Amino acid sequence: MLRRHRLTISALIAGITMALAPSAASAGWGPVLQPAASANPSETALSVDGRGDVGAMWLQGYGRTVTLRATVKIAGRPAAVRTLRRARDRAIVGLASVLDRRGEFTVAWVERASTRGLLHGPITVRAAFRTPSGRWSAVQTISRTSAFASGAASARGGTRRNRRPRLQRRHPIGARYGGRLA
Amino acid sequence: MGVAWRRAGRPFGRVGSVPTGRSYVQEPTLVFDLTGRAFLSGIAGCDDEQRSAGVLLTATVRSRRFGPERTVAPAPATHLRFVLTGDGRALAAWIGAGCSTTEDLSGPVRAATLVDDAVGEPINVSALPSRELRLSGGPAGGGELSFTRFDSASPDGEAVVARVAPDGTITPPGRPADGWAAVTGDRAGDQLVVPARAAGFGPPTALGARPAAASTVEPSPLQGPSFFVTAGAPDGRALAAARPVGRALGIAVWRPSTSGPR
Repeated sequence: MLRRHRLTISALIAGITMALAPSAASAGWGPVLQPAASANPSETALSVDGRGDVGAMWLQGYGRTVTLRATVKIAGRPAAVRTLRRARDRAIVGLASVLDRRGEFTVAWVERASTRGLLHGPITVRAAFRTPSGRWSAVQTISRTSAFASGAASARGGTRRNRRPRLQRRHPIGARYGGRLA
Repeated sequence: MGVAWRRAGRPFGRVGSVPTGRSYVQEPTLVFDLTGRAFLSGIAGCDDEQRSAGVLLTATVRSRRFGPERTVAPAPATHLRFVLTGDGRALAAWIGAGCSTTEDLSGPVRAATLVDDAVGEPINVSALPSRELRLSGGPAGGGELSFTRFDSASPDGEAVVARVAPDGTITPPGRPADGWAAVTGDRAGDQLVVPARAAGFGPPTALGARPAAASTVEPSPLQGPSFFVTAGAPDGRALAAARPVGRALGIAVWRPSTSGPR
């Protein structure tokens, strides 16, 4: 019940508001951006350009439902949060994002069916992008493959292990599927 | 191995093939320079630990085809790191051990510079067994390596850093004087840094920004201890970090506070 309530609240505010939390940022650091509907992210991808524009995508899981959201802050203005994917009994891994010099934000991830933690079925790479004018594309299926292959795309970084840019790749059966979490 | 491309404002095209030759490329890293040239690096031959080597493939934005793979890290090599450090320049570093899909092997740390597609001779950075290798771009086309090394005096590991000068010379690894180790850099060499701690001792206790032209560290408003997701601008001077803050994701962006070039 609590999880359902939290999900409802998150859904109501998703895409509507962004909060700028006050912070004690030192010189050079801007205020902390706290996007709406971003509680308890289990995985995050982040990218920044030379103007200080930033794009982020994050994954949330509530029970058997996973939700993937993204937003950008361009020229100091936070954009609405976009819900890219909400699915039941799916595993989503390998989040990747890149913000180009024009302000176009591209995101990609990997999906597979999951039944009580057991992964099965085709592995799907999906992607979407937000144009500099603020229009989000539809989610595109890049590839849908057998269990011999998996992949993700674009760039990311971090203090967790394996937070590196990655490209579509293949694994033999039994190899690790998708991104590795700390 | 496959790759899909897209133009600005357009969806991705069909998945094409990357000529990785003898095997898959593990731990692939993809970066672009300012001309749009793509650099794909990773470990080939991971199914044969003694033959695993670091390879690099490049593609121009016009051709959208990756050329043949070139060896940048001779076997045995694993955990290849690759960063662009300037026009036509790059740094590579790796652990000199076999690549394994079931074990995270330690080994000596080696590095090489790349200038206009010419790969330099491997440089021995540390002969001691090491792991948790990081490579960040530094000021003026240099870089910083950080890793945990093990010896009889420090069986639990010691966190050390080695600085790479623009000419490719590398300082002997040692404990950082300021206690910080770089995790991410931007195009100008500004770096996000965390306290240098040996691997396996929990998440970073803090995060800060170290400007390229200064030795002081500007603490992040995002507090530790936490695992941080970080990013550096490939086209200018900006750094970003994220971590959960209360009931939301917190994202902070750093930019140089001086009037220097951006």
